[in-house]
Amino acid sequence: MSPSGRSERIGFLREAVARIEAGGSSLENKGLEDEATRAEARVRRRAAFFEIAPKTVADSPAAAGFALMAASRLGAGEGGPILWIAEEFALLESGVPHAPGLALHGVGWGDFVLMRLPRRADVFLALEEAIRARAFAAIVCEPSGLAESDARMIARRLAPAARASGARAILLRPPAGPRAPFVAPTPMRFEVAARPAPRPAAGRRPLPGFAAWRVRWTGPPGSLPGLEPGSVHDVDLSGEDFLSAALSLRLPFGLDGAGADSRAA
Amino acid sequence: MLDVAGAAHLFGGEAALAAQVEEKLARHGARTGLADTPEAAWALARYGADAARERILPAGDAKALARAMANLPVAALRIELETARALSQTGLKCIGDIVHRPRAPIVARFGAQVFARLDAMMGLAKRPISPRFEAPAYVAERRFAEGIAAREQIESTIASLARDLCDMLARHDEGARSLAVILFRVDGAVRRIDCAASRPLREPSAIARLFREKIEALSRDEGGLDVGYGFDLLRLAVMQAEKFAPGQSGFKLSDLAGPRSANDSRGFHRVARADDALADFLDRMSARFGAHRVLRFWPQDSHMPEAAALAMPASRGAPPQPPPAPEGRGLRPLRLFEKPEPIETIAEVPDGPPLRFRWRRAMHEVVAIEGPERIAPQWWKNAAPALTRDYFRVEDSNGRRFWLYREGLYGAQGALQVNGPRWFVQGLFA
Repeated sequence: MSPSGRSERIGFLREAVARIEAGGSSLENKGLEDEATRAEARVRRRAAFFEIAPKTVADSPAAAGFALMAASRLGAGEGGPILWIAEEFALLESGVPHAPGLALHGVGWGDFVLMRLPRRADVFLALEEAIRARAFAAIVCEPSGLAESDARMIARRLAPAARASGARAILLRPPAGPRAPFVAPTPMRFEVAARPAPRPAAGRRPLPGFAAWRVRWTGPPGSLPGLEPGSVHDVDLSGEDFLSAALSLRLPFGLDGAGADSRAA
Repeated sequence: MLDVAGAAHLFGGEAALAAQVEEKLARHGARTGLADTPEAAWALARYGADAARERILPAGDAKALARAMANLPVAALRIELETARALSQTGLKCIGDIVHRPRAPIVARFGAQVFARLDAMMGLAKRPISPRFEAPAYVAERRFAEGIAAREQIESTIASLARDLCDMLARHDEGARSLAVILFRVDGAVRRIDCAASRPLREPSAIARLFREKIEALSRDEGGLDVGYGFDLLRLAVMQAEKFAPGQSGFKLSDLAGPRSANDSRGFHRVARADDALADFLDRMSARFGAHRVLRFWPQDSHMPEAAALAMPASRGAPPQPPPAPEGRGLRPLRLFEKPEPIETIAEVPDGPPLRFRWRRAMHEVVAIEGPERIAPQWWKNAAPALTRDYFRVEDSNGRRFWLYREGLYGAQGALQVNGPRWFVQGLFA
């Protein structure tokens, strides 16, 4: 393995390009591209409020990465930065969003605003204000926990407000369970776990891959035609350039209502 | 009174700075004095020797300070004139005469002020310097025959004052960037509330909204404004004004040269409205939660990961584009711990990459690794020596990706590295 892994990465990218040229890309056909664009427009209308939870606490960074990918994908071309509203305790546990790392996910330094708030009530208050402001491409809200009263507020106030204003809000919540179920009245509910990514081999041990997720759709039955509750899908961003990879990635789970089609080149 | 700590070298040293100040203020007959405490500097300027050099005391030298003060008259303590005269009549003419005297009799006869000033002069007690605030650019105020105490009354008065202020700003084609409401209580107490805007403001409702958020935050965090018997004077001041850029909502597209389509016009106004909405949101949230809680990342000229981005108040505007990453730099994580967390590692050979590591009481099996990327400490910035870091991007058997680093080198000697290198997790990848 070279010290920086650069030559291995280049080899890996060459292989990826060869796969795409051999017919692996889902967007290379113009007709499909147009259809995807139309589907995206439908998604943006329907996808007002997302609820994303890690499978376990250890999967929190993966869930954060998936939320950021969804935010940058849904907010692309909308104008305005991405707003990340986080409770201080959540940042202490999971780390602070790191600007050079955000750039790898297609979010520029100027396209990101972070609010660090001490109390959970403040986080939801800021989320409600941000939804009403309609000034952001997408809003990610990261509380450190969810009390019963928070769940009621999300279900009765925040999700309907997002639907009414057309804002795209993503609730990045702690792991769900029997005592802390998914709460948002939306089909866009996902449980995210980290997944070993395709990776280039080098020497005795391979290089780490890039972002990859195993995502379980947990929306209400029948809310997305063709999808079974609990269905699991693999999504990954291959290659070093996360930005172009994220933008060419079709949104998972047939969010356009056309059924599951999660894989992307 | 100027606090010149750390700034004198910019003027060629303390002596040169003092000379410059005296030269500029020569027609007012000004004299300067430089010392470790404001009281000593004041005393030197007024009662010090004629030679300017003797009115500059070396920094951090308590003995020199005591020697220089000992010969000054007691009036140099900045006490009342009558107290100074009474002290002189008892034979205590110089500061040196009272320094070693028993304090109790002097305090009993002349009050506690004498020794309070003496301690402040010698640096034994801290007395803060009260800054002089800049005169506001525009002011509007309202007096009341009886104090007002209701929050609604106060907010509506601020809104009314904002209208007066905006008329003044419009006449000068300016907008407010920094505002303050000063509330004078009936019993003489003064309360000041500051607000800042990310763009020049000239809209009364926006100004009123900012202060409403601020008062709401005060009610939540400090139990309110402490109205007491009420406020009999409210003053709204523009502390900093800027030329008002014509709002895009008031901008006529027909003023532009060349043909434009209707779509252009709609898009143009949509962007303008979005910009206004964004600035309004950031200002309101900064007023409510504090500017330090609404942040944007600004690139910094540092290769240390934790110093590469500086979180600045979002009201400062959008950050510039960062310079391109240097050739060969590894990937950076999505999330970074402000304080790297120590881990235990097991490696094949002592200076090799880890095979497995324990973090937060869970063991992680390393299946893929990239590195090391060596980052040397900023020896030209740090007064204390720091250790070299070797960064690794690792993936465990569950597909979780971490950013680890080893601090220190095997075989290196030094006071910092008594037990060999240590390992930390500093960031997490998606």
